[in-house]
Amino acid sequence: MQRLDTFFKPSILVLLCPLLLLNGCALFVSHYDAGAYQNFTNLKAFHLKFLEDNTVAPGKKFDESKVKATCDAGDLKFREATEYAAGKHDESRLHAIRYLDNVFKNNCEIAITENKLFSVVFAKEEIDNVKPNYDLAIRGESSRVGNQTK
Amino acid sequence: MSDIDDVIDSIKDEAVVLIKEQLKDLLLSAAEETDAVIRQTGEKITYWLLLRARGELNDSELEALLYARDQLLRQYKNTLQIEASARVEKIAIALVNIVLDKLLGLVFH
Repeated sequence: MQRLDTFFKPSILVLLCPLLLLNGCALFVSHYDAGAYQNFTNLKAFHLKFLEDNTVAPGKKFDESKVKATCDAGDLKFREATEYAAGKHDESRLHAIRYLDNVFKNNCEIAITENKLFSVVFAKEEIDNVKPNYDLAIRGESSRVGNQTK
Repeated sequence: MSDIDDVIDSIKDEAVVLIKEQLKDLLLSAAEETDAVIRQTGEKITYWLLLRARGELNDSELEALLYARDQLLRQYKNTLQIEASARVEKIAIALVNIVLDKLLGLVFH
């Protein structure tokens, strides 16, 4: 047993030291968080619905007050998600939300400035940008340590 | 390739010859990229420029699409960093745990 003790003590230290050093250098990211995952999926649904609801279609008219109300609601959702992420003290999660929020804000700005529904061509292409942006954020959250669903 | 040529040909302003050459080089490089996100970005930008040339997109719509693509690329980079860090941590933790849980107490010679 004496032999084992003398073998393992330095061995474990050798294994643990790089781990602690890496952690100290903030190489690791915070662990999986179900609340953050849900925020990403909820924001994705909200943003895509906003684009679809405000795309040209037969009988549909631009409603400025409705667009502004939706943009305000979206702004609140992004703020809540940002505050939640800030509490987890991980910049990578905050970045992920910011890259989504920036696009939502830009879409709101275009709708309000141009004062018209999105064209079908633009909406299709923008959805092709927005969807994978959320999917990447969700993929990032899912890949974190501690995700039991993977 | 023909789409890229069409895009370049659609830019009539002779004052931007150098920019047209740079754009063509970048679009061709993106088309040959093995990374799917980069390749798709090249394809999308080529397509948007064609839509702009045909008048199916206006300048502000094109600008918005380019901005959204920029944010998507930033997200891609962020996700790759998260995945790489998580992978390192998973390996390190698994390594420590396997020694602590499975090997500790065994006789070593």
